[in-house]
Amino acid sequence: MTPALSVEKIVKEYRAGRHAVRALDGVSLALLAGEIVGLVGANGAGKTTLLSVAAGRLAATSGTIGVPGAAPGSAGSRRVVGFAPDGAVFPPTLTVREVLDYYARLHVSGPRRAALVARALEIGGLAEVADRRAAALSRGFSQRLSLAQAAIGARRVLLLDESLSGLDPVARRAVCDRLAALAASGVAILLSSHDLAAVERLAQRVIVLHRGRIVREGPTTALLGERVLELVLDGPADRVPPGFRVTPFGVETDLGQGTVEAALALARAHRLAVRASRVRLRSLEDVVLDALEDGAR
Amino acid sequence: MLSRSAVAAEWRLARARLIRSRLGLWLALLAAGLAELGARAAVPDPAGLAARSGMMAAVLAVAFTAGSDADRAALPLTLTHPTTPLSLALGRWLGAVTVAALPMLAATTAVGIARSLSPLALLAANAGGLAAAGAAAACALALVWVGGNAGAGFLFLYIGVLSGLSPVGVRYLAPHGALPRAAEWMLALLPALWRYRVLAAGSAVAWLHAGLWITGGIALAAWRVSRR
Repeated sequence: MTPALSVEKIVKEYRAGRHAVRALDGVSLALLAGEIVGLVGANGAGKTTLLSVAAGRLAATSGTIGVPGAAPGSAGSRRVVGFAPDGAVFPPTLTVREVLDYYARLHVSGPRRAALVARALEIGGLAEVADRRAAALSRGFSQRLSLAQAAIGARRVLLLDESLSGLDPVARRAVCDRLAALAASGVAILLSSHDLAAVERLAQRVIVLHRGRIVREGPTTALLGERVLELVLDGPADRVPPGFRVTPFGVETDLGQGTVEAALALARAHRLAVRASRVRLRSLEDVVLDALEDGAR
Repeated sequence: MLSRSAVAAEWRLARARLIRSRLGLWLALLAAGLAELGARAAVPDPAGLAARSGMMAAVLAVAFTAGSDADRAALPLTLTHPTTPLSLALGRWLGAVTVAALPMLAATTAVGIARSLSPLALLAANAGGLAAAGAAAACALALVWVGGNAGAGFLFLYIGVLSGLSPVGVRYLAPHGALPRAAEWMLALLPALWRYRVLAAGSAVAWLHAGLWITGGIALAAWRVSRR
């Protein structure tokens, strides 16, 4: 299957005084039609830089961006790839509808434009604020307008930078549902977010970025499929068994291929006062934190 | 390189600014003030009035349609859509010149009626004024996309206060010193009232100067946007 967007060995360096700072260090990824990929990592990991480079907003130091049927950085590729930056600024004095009409004019002309604007308003859930000045919108609505302008036209790839932040729970759920619907219609979505619960629910694949490198990548189901044994202890553990981590309520360990019985036996051998135990699946937060720890080593 | 619909999208932004910002008010004040001065002048000078009002209005229009922090911050997002820096610059320039033509026409028409000037003289004055406005708008666009509205403020004051003097006049008034020499260079290079006043009379040098500023200013503005 031809990727809707391919990123090959992207390096992006900035000059900071005399030093060169490498924001992206050989990042490669492929985005398939209809999939939502979560891009997660700590602040400064390079997520926004990666999205900006993929959108053609920043030039890469080296590496290539590929969009089928369009030259990199061309108007043709911008017709297909939409970018919703965090904290987007729109042309002042325009209403939400006029902002979308302004961007729609760059894609189509004639009567088809009205349909494009109506569809973008629907994607952003912006009907109630359509005639309000864009500059006066709350952060949540501004994020939705950013998403709507990204999805305008015949965009087949959406690059979303923190599009879920600043939204109330109801709006966030609504935006998640719209993103899922867009993906179901064949749009490929790369979603950068610190909202790991939303990424866990939406993304079929997750990429963890750390200091400009991909440190973990895989299908969400595979990453979250590992089991964790949590032990609640009566008191603090004097000796932590190998492979266990200390938690606020006791200890926990990844079971991997091992059994619960074996892990419990190890805990007893280390004289841990186990009050209760439970097995849960790993959360995306566990995966990301582990990946970041591994990447830091 | 250039998309007609993208140019039209940028051009249309000027209408919203004219109605919803203070741009309309400032242009009305400018037109009224210059018309009043023109009507009271000892010798009517429709060409000078058209050039001055067109240039000053063009700088104001650029400041309000392209030079604000929000306008400049919105440019990178626009460039993620199928447009080009040249379309963007050309559309904004066209919008500013269209807006600038309104007070220019109002001022010259008012003075023409008050001083019973011939329609042909007014037509030539307005054609020259439009070219002067185009040159000033292109220069202002390049300046504001490099340094923000401080550049527009400088250009507005320069056109309103200094640019009526020719470099020869500056040399006569202040023959020595670095500042007068700098002013001489500025008056020779930048769009200036003393040069564009003769556009209406068909001065080839003035038309060439204005034409170079229009093409060069738009190209410089487009280059600046592409580097953001």
